[in-house]
Amino acid sequence: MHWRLSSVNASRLVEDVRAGRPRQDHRELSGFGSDLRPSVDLVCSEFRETFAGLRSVTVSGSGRGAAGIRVDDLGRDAIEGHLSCQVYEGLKDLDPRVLTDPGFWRYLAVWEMFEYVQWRDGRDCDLASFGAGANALTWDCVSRRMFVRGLIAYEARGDESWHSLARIAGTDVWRSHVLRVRTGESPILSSALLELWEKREIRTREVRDVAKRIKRLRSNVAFEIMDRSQIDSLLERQIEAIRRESWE
Amino acid sequence: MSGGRGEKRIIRPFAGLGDVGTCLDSTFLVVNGEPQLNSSVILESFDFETDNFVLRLEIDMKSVSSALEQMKVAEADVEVAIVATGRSLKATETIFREPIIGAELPGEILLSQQTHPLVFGDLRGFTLRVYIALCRDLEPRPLAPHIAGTWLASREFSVGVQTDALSGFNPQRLTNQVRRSLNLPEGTKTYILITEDSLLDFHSLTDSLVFYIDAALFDLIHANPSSAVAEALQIEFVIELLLSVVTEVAHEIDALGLTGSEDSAVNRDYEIGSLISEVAARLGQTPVELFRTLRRDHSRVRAGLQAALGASRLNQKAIGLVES
Repeated sequence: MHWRLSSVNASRLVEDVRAGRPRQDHRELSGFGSDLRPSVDLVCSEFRETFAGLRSVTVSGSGRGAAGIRVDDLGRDAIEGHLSCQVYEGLKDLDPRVLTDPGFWRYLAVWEMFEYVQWRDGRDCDLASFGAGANALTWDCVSRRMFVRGLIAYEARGDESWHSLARIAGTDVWRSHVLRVRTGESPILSSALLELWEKREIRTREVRDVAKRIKRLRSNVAFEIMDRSQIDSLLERQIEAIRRESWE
Repeated sequence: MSGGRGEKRIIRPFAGLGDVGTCLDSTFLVVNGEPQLNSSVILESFDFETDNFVLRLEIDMKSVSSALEQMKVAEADVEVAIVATGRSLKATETIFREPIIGAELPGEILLSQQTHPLVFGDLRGFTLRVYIALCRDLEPRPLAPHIAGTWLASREFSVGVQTDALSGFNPQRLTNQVRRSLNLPEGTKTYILITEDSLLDFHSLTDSLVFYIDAALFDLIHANPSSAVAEALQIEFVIELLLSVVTEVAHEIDALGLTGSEDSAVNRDYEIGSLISEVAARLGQTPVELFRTLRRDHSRVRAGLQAALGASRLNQKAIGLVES
């Protein structure tokens, strides 16, 4: 069994906390198998500790924190990447009925990670960051997007190096070109795209054009069954074509 | 349990495919022992413990061989691959992969929740894609497939859980807080937030957009949803939503350079594709014709929707009620 929050109750809780009203306990207990609450509690308290530690070296100064970590969106995303590994590792073995319950991700975002979500997406961030305000979760739901970022990285690398992939701090690339589109269903393609971007082999303004070409190719090509070298050579051809077009 | 509608047929930029596109027509899903005629299965509920899913794999090898011969593609360069994706977490697994010729293909493939928990144990359902595809890059030739992963034939199956029509439209209260966070002016009545970069790629409306209605108005409608005024307003909202979805999809199709091939680009197995087909059908048009009309004369599509949904009659009823 696990805690969950309905969309309506998640919205109420966010509104109450933001308005300084006492936090009512709207959690619902969902009953699948063994009691998973203690292990989830542990993951969440470790998450908050790590966040507090990372935050303490980033809060001072407007541009850079005490330890030199940038606190702009890229810096925030680097921290999200780090915490994504922790969220994925901590939760990956839970029952799939829990992990595919939107109410579970709302509970995590609102009840357990409220401070982090507001720090990450802004104090007035949309309810969608908490998985609230809609029946289905969007990829703006911070807790779920962190888990899936870890999942994609793990599936792509399947070894120790998945951490470095999950930590690639490319907010826009992750959100717009991996999570929100079907590219995320192909971890190898996602990984190749993110690495090219991180190594600056593909310029930020080119990512969108590559993504567009990937989408067009998808009507004829199943990226999920391609291996890394096939994906690499396909991406190379797309980048060449984009650069050729821009010269013409 | 209910089935979906027809299936999309993509226009393929290759010559010599022949009938290969139909070689998987006899492949089907079996849910809880019941063979499914449709490729899209909607369950009333999903029971992780007891529901079982099997894919019965049947490939018309004659049409595959004939297409390969026509295209001068070696049999060794082609494989059968089955890829499954859970709807909630993008978990994707290749559950089966064998050369098309030489290997003994199983008649049935169990879609096991134990082996692939995040896919077949996903409470929101899953998608299954069967491909006859190139397994390696080939020398490029005009009008011949050459990129590894290019499929010669494919079929998509999906299993989902039923949601009601209202949740499909996903109306939400537009509170002051939401309005401020979306940077909308005070007095906003409705707003459609597209939450995904692509509407064409997503199975469900609720995954792709949120329809906001001013909180006070939302509460009044919900307090008395069958009143004449509430009914008239709801139909206006539905028209607004449908027009917005179709317009957004038109932009996406144009950006992808697929203008003119909407009949194949719109996947009827997806809620959005099905919605577009329904809008087109209500206006007595095909999707291609609908998008053509939309680009040329947006207002005509609105007029068609108003006529199809009886908007004027409902408005008259509402005004009559107000006057009386």
